[in-house]
Amino acid sequence: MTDRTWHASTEQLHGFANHSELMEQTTAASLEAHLVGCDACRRGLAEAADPVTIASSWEALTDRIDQPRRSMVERALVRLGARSGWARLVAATPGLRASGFAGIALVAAAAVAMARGIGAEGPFLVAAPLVPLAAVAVSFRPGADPIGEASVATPMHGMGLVLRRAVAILTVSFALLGVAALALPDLDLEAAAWVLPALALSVGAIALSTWIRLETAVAVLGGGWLMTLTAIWWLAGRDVVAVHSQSFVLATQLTALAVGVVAMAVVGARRDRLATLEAFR
Amino acid sequence: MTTTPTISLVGVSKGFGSTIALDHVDAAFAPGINGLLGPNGAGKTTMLRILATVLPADQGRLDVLGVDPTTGDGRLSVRRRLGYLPQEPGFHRQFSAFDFVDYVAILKEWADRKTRHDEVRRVLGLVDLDSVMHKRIGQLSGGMRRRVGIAQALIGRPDLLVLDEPTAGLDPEQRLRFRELLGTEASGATVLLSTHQTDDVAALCHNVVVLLSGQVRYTGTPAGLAALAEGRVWLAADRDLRAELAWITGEGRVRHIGDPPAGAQLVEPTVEDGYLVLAGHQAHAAPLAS
Repeated sequence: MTDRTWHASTEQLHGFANHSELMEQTTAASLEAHLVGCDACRRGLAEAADPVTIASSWEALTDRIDQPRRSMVERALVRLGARSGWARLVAATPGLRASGFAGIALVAAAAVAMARGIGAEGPFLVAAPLVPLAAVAVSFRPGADPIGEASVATPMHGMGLVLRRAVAILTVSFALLGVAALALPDLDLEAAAWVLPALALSVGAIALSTWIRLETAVAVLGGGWLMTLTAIWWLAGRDVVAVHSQSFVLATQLTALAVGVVAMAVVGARRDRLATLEAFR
Repeated sequence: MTTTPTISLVGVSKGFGSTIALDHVDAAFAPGINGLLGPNGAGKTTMLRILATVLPADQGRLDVLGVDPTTGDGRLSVRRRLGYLPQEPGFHRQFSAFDFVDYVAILKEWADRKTRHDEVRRVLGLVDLDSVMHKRIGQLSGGMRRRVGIAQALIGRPDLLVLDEPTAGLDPEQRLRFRELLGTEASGATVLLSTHQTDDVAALCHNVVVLLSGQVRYTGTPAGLAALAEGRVWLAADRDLRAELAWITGEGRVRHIGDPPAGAQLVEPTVEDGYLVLAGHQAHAAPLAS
């Protein structure tokens, strides 16, 4: 209960108003309780308080309250050195949510399990390039930006933002797939044969989306990848060994490299479309 | 108010597949509030998207705030001076009103957090959303969401404001507040707003453009648009089947547009009457809000 016969000294009020964080915690709490019921001390506090300190404290408080909640990805990006504004924009990418990570991990685990089941890395090498492609589809689908069309009319919208988001998505996808690949039955160089096709398909989808709808681009590339592998397997007399042969793997890598380079060039040449609603329709 | 145009379109066309949204449009807009009227599908949104650098035109020449927005540098220059409210802004359900406007401010290159947050609070205050700024957008009413959209367009007091149906979903009091807001916040700026509310045009705009089937059918003052219906609007107790358009008013009488019969009780035409004379059955098919 507050003792009304006692009043805080000017020094105490001054200390409480301007440097309350330096005051001993129990004293500050007692003084605060007393101030609630004592008009005289509240008037004294008003006189003792420095208006500049009060204003800056209030601003600091509102700024703290108004600070939007940072997602795990945003905090990680800031820790990695990204500027806070860019970190917010990149972290808003749909593919960078926990559900997206879980989806990638699940597909990667299933592909590894199939590979282990048959004792060869084939199923993983077929499925892995499709995972980053799916992440691109989710992240750049129409309406994927959290504020929709309003974002397109802003200075930061364009190729710079698209590439930053793409790098973030691909980094996460590749990291999760890379970890999964460690559990493949034969951990050799061939276990990394999915990397270039994955890059080619992902960047190819972004490049193609400057002409056609993103869903169509993803379907064409993903379907094309599966149909090509199936055709080769069929032509080789349904011999899985043919798909795993050194010459086939080399040809696939060179083709993927060429497609990736061309896709990058297309993205650069058609960057104007990435800055408007003409891309990612 | 007649000043030098800050925006001009010469022979601008835009199509989507076999649909022609804009057909060789010539138009010019000066600082002040410019209204864009037309039925659904007339090309209003396409024109605003082109001027907001969201869509490129297929052909024609554009000058926006002294630059060509079809070049990379020109587009960036326009976007740095632009506030844009799309017809259907996307609202992330998990964002609060503050998060949403703050996100737009980041996209508008407001890098300093303190300055940005001050600006976010300012624009949300302008649309009377201070008390709900930390509520999730999914919990806000349609009118409140519209005001969040208006707030983000006002960030940084832009020189060009492109507003696609800004008063859709606002109640009469909020529409009045919006008119006051434009009068103060957009002073000196070039404002383009599309609307179905002809009374907004009459109350706000110094210039109005009527688009029909992708073509400009009228450019001039709202009073000039109303004058197009001079001598063609009359009231009667019963519907006159010879009239081009007719509807029952709040007083229970029938307002007609067309060639009046002898002895008809002619009335002073409004902007809506002038628009209906121009748009005729196209507008009738997509009626204006009352």
